[in-house]
Amino acid sequence: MTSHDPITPRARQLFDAAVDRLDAHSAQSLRRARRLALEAPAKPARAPFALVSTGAFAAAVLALGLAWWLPTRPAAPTEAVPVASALELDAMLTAEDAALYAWLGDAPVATEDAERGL
Amino acid sequence: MPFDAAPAAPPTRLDDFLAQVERRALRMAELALGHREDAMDAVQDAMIKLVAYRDRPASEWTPLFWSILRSQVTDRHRRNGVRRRFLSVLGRSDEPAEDPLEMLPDPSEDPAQRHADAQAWAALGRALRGLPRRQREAYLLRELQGLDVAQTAAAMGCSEGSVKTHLFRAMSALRIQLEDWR
Repeated sequence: MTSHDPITPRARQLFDAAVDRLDAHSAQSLRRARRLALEAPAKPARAPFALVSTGAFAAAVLALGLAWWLPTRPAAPTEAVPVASALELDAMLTAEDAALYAWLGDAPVATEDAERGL
Repeated sequence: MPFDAAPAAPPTRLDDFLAQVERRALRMAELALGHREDAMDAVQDAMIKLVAYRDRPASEWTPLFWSILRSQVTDRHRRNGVRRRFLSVLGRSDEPAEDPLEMLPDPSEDPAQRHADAQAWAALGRALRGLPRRQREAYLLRELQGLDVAQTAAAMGCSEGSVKTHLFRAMSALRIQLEDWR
């Protein structure tokens, strides 16, 4: 269809001529626009919250790594109860045991009759 | 005879690619918008946006660039429509005072021929701007820019069949609008 249509060949001829004859000022503006576009950052700037989250993540990983890598320190000893001697400790335990056994001896014996109230 | 304005081997550097298409892009935007400064802004913004895709294969730059420029032109066309309606209410017009072709320095050319070309260029611009948007885009990309049907479809974001339909209607309308050329 286009081969028999004089409109499109004439339009192309005008278009190509207009491209070839572009004035110097416009051509310079295009070169400047191209240079500015190419000098622009390759990727859009990242949002501030993305930088903050990345930094926080890096800090957390570093802290975990350090915690895993550093040798574990022995736990601090708990405050010791002063005990005068082993004999005193045995005596204290024996006194407590005697009280316990005395209480057990006084307690009622759990038998089937006792449970039935006899 | 197939029309092929694009080179056989596309450039592999973005700088070379833009240098190759920038003049044609400006003239195409100018035809669509009818305003030199708006066209320059549209091309500059299209260049900036294309640079964000510099990591894409070079074979994708052509449809990408024309798609971006088409979008830029569409945005400005809508904006200009609003501005024109606003100015018409005020009784003013923002049409350019003179045709850009008349400002081109070429003293070797016959003045009569030059005048005829300027008149024809202005008529072509008016006829194209009178087309529905999709028809205008199909004609500019396929017939004047020389993209093939597949590239035109990719740039317009539609099927190849739609491109052919828009193109057929555009050419039918232009035959009526530019009857003097026959």
